[in-house]
Amino acid sequence: MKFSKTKLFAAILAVAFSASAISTADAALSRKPQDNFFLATATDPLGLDPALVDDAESGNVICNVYESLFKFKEDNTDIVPSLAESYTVSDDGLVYTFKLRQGVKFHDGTPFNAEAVKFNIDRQMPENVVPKMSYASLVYGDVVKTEVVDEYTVKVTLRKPSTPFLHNLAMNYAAPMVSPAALKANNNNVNQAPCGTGPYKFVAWDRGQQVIVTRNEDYWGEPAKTQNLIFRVMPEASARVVALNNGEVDAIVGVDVNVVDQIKQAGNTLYSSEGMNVSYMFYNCRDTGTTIKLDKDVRRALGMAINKKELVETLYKGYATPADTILPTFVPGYSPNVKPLEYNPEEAKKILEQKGIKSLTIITYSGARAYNTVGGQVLAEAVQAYLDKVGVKADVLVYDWATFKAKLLTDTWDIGFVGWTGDNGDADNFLNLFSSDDPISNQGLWVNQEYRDLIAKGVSLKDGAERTKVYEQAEQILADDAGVYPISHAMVLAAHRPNVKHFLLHKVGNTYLDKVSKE
Amino acid sequence: MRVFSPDPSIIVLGQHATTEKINAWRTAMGLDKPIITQYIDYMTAVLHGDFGLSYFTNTPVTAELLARLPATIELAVLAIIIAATVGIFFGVLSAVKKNSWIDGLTMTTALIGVSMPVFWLGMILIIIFSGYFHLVPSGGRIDTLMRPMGGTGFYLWDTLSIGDFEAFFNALQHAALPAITLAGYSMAIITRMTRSSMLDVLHQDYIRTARAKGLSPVQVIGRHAFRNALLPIVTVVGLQFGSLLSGAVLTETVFAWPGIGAYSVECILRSDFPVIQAVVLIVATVFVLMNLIVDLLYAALDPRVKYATGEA
Repeated sequence: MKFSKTKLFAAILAVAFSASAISTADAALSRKPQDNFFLATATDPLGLDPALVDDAESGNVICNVYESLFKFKEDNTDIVPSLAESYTVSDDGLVYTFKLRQGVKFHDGTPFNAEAVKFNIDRQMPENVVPKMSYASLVYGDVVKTEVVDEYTVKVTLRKPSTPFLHNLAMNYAAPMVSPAALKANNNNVNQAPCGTGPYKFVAWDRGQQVIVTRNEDYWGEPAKTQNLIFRVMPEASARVVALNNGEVDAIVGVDVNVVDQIKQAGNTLYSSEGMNVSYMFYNCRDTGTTIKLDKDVRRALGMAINKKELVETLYKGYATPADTILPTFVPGYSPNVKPLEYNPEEAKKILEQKGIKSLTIITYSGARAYNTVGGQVLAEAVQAYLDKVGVKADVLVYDWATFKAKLLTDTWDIGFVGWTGDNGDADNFLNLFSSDDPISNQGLWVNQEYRDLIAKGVSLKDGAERTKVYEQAEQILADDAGVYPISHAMVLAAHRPNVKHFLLHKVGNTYLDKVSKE
Repeated sequence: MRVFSPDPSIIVLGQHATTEKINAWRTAMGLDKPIITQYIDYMTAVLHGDFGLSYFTNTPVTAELLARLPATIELAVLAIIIAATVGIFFGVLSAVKKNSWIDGLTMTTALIGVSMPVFWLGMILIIIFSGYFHLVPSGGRIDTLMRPMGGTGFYLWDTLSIGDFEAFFNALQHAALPAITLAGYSMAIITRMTRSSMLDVLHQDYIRTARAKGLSPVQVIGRHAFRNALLPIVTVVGLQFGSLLSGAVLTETVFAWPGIGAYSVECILRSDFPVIQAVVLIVATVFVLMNLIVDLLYAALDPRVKYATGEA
């Protein structure tokens, strides 16, 4: 067949004409700079259905598009009503009756009411749960049934009293209310078509580039200050800093402590807040998979060998605080009376010599985590140096996160490093990790029955002096028995341009941007 | 890949995973089956055009990749245009001016180009041209407010076809640094290959004859030498284009270029196998196709090469 240039030209023209359906940009997007707020994040969200995701990037969008029955106060983890106006609890602590806010509509125009609340909770009950609903059991695990009393009253019955329950209802995952109509129209998955009641509504998601949301003009509360929010994906941390310094974006999250000076020198504002997290060292307390017997005395001696204050100051340059307890100081239940293990290398050396501990194996992860911004390898190597000073040679095994988690279950090791990012601002969310028999959450399988009894008691006590006392006792047992060794609480870091006002990166890790504006 | 990689089930469910939930998820995904059964299931689905669902987003892998393909192709085409144009020009120049300072400079630059890590080059270019001189944006494909809606997904083409030149030049500005970064390595390879191929040809008798006939140097080099040196150059350009399509992994990540490369990095870091497997398969196919196209081009370039048409 002879090649025809005319045909090729015709084909090109045809493609060109087929592009006539293209328009320049969304009508919703104003080109005025003050109408658009750009936030640079590290990766694409996994999805925008709050029941089906658990990553921070999804959370950044979700907290502006959806709302839950309760929300956290701006500067702490106390909760205030949001879509629920008020609530009552039965004397036995089992039945919660919520009075819902009236006149609220989802972004698709359907009404928010008791039926919608029941639909959202029922969707995440064990019989309906799908594997990706990783927060369903945390938020609704104690729920037995949900009943519609009238259009704006809903009753939820629990199987046992649970103080964290109301805090769970303020969370960014599982708890936000999704339009039942949207869920029905999208096969029970609104990852690509989010529809909530929040101050912003979804416009577009360009894969790998950005998520765009625009102000919900029918919002029941105070309207959002800035018309559009654009969550731009910028994987490389240094490129995010250049983009901020150039004014290409208005704010960045995921700030590395090493670039703080660069950010400040460019005239930008560093935003830091005490993070709801803890980084800790754990000991292998299992009978197998360990090279040495890590009894209580050995565990205590290993902790005493580490100069925590010096370690944290050196590694985190002031952007993390040494952790005396597992609980961050602002979480209800924290007590300053807990006495941590003191740094005492001479005593540590003596004990370790007596016990004949000369070498051990450390297992850790390679990259940075929210609770350990320098990465597991750097932290493990710093601890390795302290152990060397007390006569213990440690081998450090470093793996990527997925391999590390798998190796914890299968390989031989003595000490490991991991951490926890809190979900709901409740003490139980942190401390129940170490009362579990599951090595996925209690990695070293430290077992202390007295501790477990206290955790079981604390979960049903109301916040207050009695509950704090219980958690104080539990933390003291954890410290004395050296179940794990708390290392640090990392600060939550972000940065924004100097003309940005009311930027809020909450302690729970969400960027609430309905009040943000640019001068 | 699957046999030697970590089991993703332990991280896919996040920090609230339990052994029970992990086992349920593994069963739902078919990961509890023997590896050979999983392989057969996977290949059967692939032959039906189904690459499965991403473990983390639960979306069809095919849709995720198709959404990112135009960005990768656009970048690779720009990069190969830069690499071939500059590489061939300096390769020919270097061969003609053999052992001169131009030759030395070109070959040294080519050596640096081959040796320089793409990741590092990208960061340096961002710091200089974006961070210091503010000439180009630090990342992305186009300003959000100018992005074309609908269309082919090739932003340069889409903006041009609707006559939005402001958006076209904005997209071109965004593409400049990533395209140059991506072109760096290929440019060096093409320069070296062009030089050596041209040197071979320039020593041939027919070149001497052409010169003896009194043809101008431009005619000798352009018509006689370059055309005959073209076959190996076309081969290397074709193969480089294949590697650019698949090898933009680091460049895309550094420049926040929303293509398949950056997506692959994201998925490798979280062991999202269905996506990684699909990308590997696509990359292999692209290489095979590029080889085929290069072979077919031989016939167009060299009158001595003819493919059988099935006639006896």
